[in-house]
Amino acid sequence: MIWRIIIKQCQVLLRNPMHLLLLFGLPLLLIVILGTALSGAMGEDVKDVQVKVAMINNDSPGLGLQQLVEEKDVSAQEFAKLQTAVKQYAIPSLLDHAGKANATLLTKIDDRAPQNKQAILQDDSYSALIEIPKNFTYDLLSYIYFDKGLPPGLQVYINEGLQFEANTILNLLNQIQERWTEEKLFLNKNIQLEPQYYKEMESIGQIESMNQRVVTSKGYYTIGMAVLNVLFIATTIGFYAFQEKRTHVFNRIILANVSRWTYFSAVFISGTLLGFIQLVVIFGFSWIVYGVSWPNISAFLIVTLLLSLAVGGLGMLLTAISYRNNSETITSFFSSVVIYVISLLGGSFYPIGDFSPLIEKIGDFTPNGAGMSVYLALLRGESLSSVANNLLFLVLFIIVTWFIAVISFPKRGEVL
Amino acid sequence: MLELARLTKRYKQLYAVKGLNMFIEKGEIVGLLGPNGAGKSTAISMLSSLIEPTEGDVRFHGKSILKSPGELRKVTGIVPQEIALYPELSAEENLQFFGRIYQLKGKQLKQRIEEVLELIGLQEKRKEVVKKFSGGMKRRLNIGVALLHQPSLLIMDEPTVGIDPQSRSYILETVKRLNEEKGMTVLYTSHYMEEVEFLCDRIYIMDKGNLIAAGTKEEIKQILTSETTVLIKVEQLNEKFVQRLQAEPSIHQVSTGENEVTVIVPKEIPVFKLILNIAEHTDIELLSIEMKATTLEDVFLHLTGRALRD
Ligand SMILES: Nc1ncnc2c1ncn2[C@@H]1O[C@H](COP(=O)(O)OP(=O)(O)OP(=O)(O)O)[C@@H](O)[C@H]1O
Ligand SMILES: [Mg+2]
Repeated sequence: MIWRIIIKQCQVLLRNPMHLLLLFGLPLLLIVILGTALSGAMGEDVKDVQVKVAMINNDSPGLGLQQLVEEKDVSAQEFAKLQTAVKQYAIPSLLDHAGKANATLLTKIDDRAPQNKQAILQDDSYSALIEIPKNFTYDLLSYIYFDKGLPPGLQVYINEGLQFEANTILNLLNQIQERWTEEKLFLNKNIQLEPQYYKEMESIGQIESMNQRVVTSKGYYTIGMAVLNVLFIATTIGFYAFQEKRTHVFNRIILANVSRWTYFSAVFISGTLLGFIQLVVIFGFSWIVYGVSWPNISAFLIVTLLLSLAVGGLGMLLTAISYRNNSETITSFFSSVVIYVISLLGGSFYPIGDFSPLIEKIGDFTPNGAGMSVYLALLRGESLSSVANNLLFLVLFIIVTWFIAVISFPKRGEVL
Repeated sequence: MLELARLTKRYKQLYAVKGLNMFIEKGEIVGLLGPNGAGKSTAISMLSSLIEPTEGDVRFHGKSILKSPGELRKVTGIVPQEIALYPELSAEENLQFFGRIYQLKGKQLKQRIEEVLELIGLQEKRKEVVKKFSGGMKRRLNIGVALLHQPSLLIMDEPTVGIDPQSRSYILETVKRLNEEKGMTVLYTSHYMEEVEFLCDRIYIMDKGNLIAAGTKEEIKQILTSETTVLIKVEQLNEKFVQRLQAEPSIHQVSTGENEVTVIVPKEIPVFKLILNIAEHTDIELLSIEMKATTLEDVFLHLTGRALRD
């Protein structure tokens, strides 16, 4: 029965070309306009960060490892572990990795002999020169695995003329060094590190050690317009549902012995379904046209579903209140005022939260703002857990809309 | 079959329906008459389980429907006063949707849609969206939807308002046929006396929430046997004439039309002489004076002092 009502709801929407256009065409148009017009304003000119790094390696990993093995009486198993570690923590491979994994950061590492040092320092095309000390491997492994000495230092020369690029490299190196300490802590606590753990660490490490993915203005406005326009699904559903009351079709449905909760759930599901479809269409469009792609599709789908459920909840809430008041004022007010206000707060038009932490906070307490924060984080390559608060808010929002809707929906025999 | 006992609905201070007693037997066509705001729709909403009465009870086959309306709903078709359809959908799609919520499926649904479309004469228009329908076509579909699940009780709330005479008589004929051929019980609400006279066996007349008369057509007309209705046509009506008629104690009701006046007077008074006299004194040129056969309209006028429609 629920599906009958949902299908009919979609049928009605399909027969309203104007609504279809507003819900599905307009957001795409807005993305194109805003994304193009404001691309300069969002600091997009820094496209790819080209970093050319020279490296002078005074270390010999093989010798360092051998020295350690001789000193410490290492078992065969431990030896294998250490060998892996050597590869894992080699600076060139870490930097290289970072470069490959991040499209906007291009690291080019030139391995140079020590005698070229002066020449490199004169060469302005390099952002930095990294000099790896003589006992790097030995020191590092001793520090991490045998709790001996200090982590090895890296000698880094920076090209003052290429400040931004140089800083990027420094950042990366800092993070790499922090990782060593982390690693050591784990071992000290006697936590047996599974091989799998290394893998995980590696992948997390990739993200952390890299400059974040840059969100383009097209990406930003795709999200902004998506979370804004999906709210109109809620009001459209609210309008349609109230139309069913006004035309007394709702009475017909009730008289056919369909429970009003069935009807009500159908409103919720229709809102959720249409919201989901709309979001997928909008994001699909910007993926195809602007290449705004999601590093983690399943995380993207989870957020999209949550946001759609929030939209379904909102649509149901508007329906319940308009049924109760016997007027669609609430829905009109929502679609003509509230949506724009909360979209502004949520950052749909401009990253307004960047100017005021308070606004950012308030924005996160709107379904669209919370959705936007999550989408932005995902687009930057962050994980869902980093935006757990926003996700939690969405879940709470859905629960609260249900709660209020259920208590305000007219009881049996009250609707006319 | 269906019984209403002291059925009352109060909205704040206003009694939309007050202590309504009524019954409908199987196979009858019962008329519910009353002017705007009489409480007809409110009564129908209560007896069809859509709204809960403030007081009183509705019993279907002796059982109250207030707590468990399921049985009644299953066998009842409601034609609401409003066009309760999806304007964006075609006639067929509307029928499909409403049929499905009445649990009709597949072949059976298809067959019922065919039958209903034929009954309401909209086969040709089945694919057209309701938005583009004429008022009469919408009305007919509004009725058709209520017939899909083959109800044994059909409740119609002013099914003919605002439509052309042709559609109107089509609808009336259809209702009569359904009653005669299928034995369908019908509650027919209207403020057109002639519709009710044509269709109904028994009639209830409401005004301002109260039941003011009930019985068969004949019984109700009996109310007026001691009086008679006189239609006076004049050349040019003036205010003085009407005032004099109203002031005359033996004349009960005066209602005016364009250059005509209807009065109700007791049978025993010399009505011609009286009217001629008044006309003379008020400079009225009389065209004709005729005694009318009693209609339900007159009964209503008699009971309430107002015409059924403005
Ligand atoms: N939901 C409501 N709230 C308040 N008053 C109401 C409500 N519904 C009806 N009424 C009032 O109850 C009275 C009866 O209304 P109802 O619609 O039953 O009359 P009706 O006989 O069907 O009139 P009509 O011929 O115009 O359809 C009217 O005065 C109306 O204003
Ligand atoms: Mg009515």
